[in-house]
Amino acid sequence: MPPSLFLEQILNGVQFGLMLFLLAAGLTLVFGIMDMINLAHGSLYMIGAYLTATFVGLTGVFWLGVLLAVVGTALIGMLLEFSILRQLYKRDHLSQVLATFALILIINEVVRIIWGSQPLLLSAPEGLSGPIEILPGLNYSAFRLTIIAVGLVVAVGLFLLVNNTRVGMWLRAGASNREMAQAMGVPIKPLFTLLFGVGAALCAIAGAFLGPILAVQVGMGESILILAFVVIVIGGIGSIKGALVGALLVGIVDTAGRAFLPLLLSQVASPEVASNLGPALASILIYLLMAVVLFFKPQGLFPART
Amino acid sequence: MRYGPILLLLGLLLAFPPIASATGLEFYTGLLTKLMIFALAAGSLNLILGYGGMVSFGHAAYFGVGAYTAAILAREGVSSAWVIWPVALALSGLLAFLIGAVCLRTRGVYFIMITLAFAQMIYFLVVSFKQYGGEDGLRARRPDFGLFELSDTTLYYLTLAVLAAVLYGLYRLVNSRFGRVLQAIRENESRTAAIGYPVYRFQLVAFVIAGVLAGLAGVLMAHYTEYASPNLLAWQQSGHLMMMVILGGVGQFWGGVLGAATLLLVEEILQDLTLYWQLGVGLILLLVVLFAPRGLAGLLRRRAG
Amino acid sequence: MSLLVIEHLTKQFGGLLAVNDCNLSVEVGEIHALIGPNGAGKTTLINQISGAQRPTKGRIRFDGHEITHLPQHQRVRLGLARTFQITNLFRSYTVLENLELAVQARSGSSFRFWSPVKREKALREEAEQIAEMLGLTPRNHTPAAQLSHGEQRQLEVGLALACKPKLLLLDEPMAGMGPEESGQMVELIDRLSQSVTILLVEHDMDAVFRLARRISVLVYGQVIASGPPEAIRANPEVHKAYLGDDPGGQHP
Repeated sequence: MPPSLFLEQILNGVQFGLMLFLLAAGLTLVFGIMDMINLAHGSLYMIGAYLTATFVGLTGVFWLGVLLAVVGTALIGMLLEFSILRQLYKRDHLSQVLATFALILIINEVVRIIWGSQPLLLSAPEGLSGPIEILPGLNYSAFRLTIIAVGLVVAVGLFLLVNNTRVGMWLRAGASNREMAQAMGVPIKPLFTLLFGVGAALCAIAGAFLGPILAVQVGMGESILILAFVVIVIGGIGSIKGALVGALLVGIVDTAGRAFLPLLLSQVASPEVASNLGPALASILIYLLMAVVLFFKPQGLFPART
Repeated sequence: MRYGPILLLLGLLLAFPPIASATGLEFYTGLLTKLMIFALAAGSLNLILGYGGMVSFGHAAYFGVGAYTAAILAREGVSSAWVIWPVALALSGLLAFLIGAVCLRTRGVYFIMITLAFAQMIYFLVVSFKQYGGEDGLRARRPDFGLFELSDTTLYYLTLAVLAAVLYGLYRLVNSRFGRVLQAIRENESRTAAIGYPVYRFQLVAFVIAGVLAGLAGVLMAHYTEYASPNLLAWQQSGHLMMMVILGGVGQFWGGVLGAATLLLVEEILQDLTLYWQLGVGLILLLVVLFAPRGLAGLLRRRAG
Repeated sequence: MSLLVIEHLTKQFGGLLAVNDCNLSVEVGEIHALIGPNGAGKTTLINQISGAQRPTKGRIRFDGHEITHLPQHQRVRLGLARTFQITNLFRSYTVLENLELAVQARSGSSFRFWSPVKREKALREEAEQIAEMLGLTPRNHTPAAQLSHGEQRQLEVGLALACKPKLLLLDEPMAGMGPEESGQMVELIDRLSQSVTILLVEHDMDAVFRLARRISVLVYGQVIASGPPEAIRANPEVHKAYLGDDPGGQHP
């Protein structure tokens, strides 16, 4: 296998992992702080992608479209929290799963009503559509590189926010011990609404940048949502660091597994077996990873609660 | 249990097919078959979720594996139901045993997520086998029972008989020693362990029973549609089954049946009315969760009491 | 003869030594009290004896069996039952239903799926006897959640008692009780001690000194003294660590 192909797949894995991290970060904080399972988190990602496609179409400027979409999705996220999700914090996990599952159905249909059932076209900005040579002999998509850069910038920003600001301190306190945070006088209700807004904005960024690579269509939120859950369970619920490590792990294992596992198998097994088993194994690799992690560390790699 | 209404319902269901075919409403015989199959699947989930307090988000795995086993065996030339049924039930039971043995070591959110992860594994594993249809699913002729031919009508009666037998069995089970312990674990796990019950073993047995019954529903589903669809295995299907249980009433004996019947009927009606029927389903479900947390059976009971 | 022998028992949570090389033995027929300041590791010790937690190091022997690695339900079968410091009942079940569950656990297999458990007269009758002994008969059909605090604490003991133990582990049975309720509990424990060995964790020193035949003092996860009440009361180390530096003070 040529090393350049290997490097390219690893970069793809990192790029996907960083976008997963944007989804997982919001999810893990909501999960860790409010002990709330929000299946509708993936719907915000979908809304982000649709809004981006719409605003880019309207304004003709990719970055402006993204900005508008991020703001719009954040507002929608806060509205959801304020109107519905807030009722669910005190309920059991079963009710949360069901209510947010219902939200998925509702949002999917609303999106279908507004935008129709056909996938939307969202293309990468023109200046970034070609490949660039990052190493001698290795061409890599400029847009994917941009995604990695955006992902890193947002990740660093998030870490600064969580570790160096007052709001971040509240968030960390809430994630490790909610009663304590309340007792310390942390303004829980507005904090939660704000948190949902931030989570939604992160979803929108992921949706805006994955949209041109994957497809902008109804149902796009669900498949990635489950990956995001795998990420936070591997990383440890409530831990931002865990979300980052888990996301990169899942991104790289998934991408590399799909690229290399069939190749590897064809070395040791007959082509027929390899072509059948390869994709099957590759697609379950991350779930296997999660089961193994949970078996040895039932609280994930970086448990936030003590 | 009051037997009057049950016998009345049973009588109506027994008399339904001939009346339907006399009045040209055969469609509804099929619909009722589907309702009963989902009632069976939801009932099995209600055993672990409602009575056992185990929020499994991967119940579609056993449902789908039952269906796929039936379809794959048929594709491979096995025509006798007397082979297909035991193999399908044994496989879904074995799967539930393996998955349950791992998952039941975790609690709370982790249990929900790991059951989901295992179900996803099964889903991707099944759709990756191209010779069995991959994402298109697998057509499967109905099997041979020897005693009778499996027409739409006999399938209806077979499903009715299976459902009635399973419900009676579940009724005995939840009122037996085992059922009492299972519910005690849901009420207070640490105390149940402290008075000397091996909690894990009880939960695992219940998990396997529920898996086998879901597999049974899957087999019937494959016979009903003459087709095994990957949708039966998808995580949305697990959500769908959970919706039925919560709609009907978690841990209420008739919860699974009531929920399956109501949800499927509502879906059927909404599909006739609008293209965007899932919007209606979502809204109804959201309202039920927010305002009637004990489900329809809970509402009925409150009315009656 | 020793019923329970604990040797070098250690429990570590992360960097914290909750129980540190602890040695303790309980003789057949005695009421053995375990006292110590908050955070001394008393409940952690009870959790390990009952099997709810596994020790990091050390051994536990009970009635001639090595039980260090036995699961909780097998320990109960050997005759080891516990109560909880924070009341831990089946709250929506009635008094009788609570007790029946415990009786059922030791009378035959519970992997029976068919016959209705409500028709098992023997379970019901035994539960009624235990309720009578606890003085809860008038409350037989009241859900546990609706009992008074004192009654809940009695049912808490009753659930352990229904396991027919040889050794009863009582984790602060008087917690949160007023004087009158405490008096009843002391009476109950005194009566029980005629038929069962008791390891009593308690903060109420009046009760401890009235009931205990022997007392062990746990400080920082270690037993620093063990002996008859008079010896413990006179032990200067115990005073320094726990009873307050005032020999012959407020405690009788």
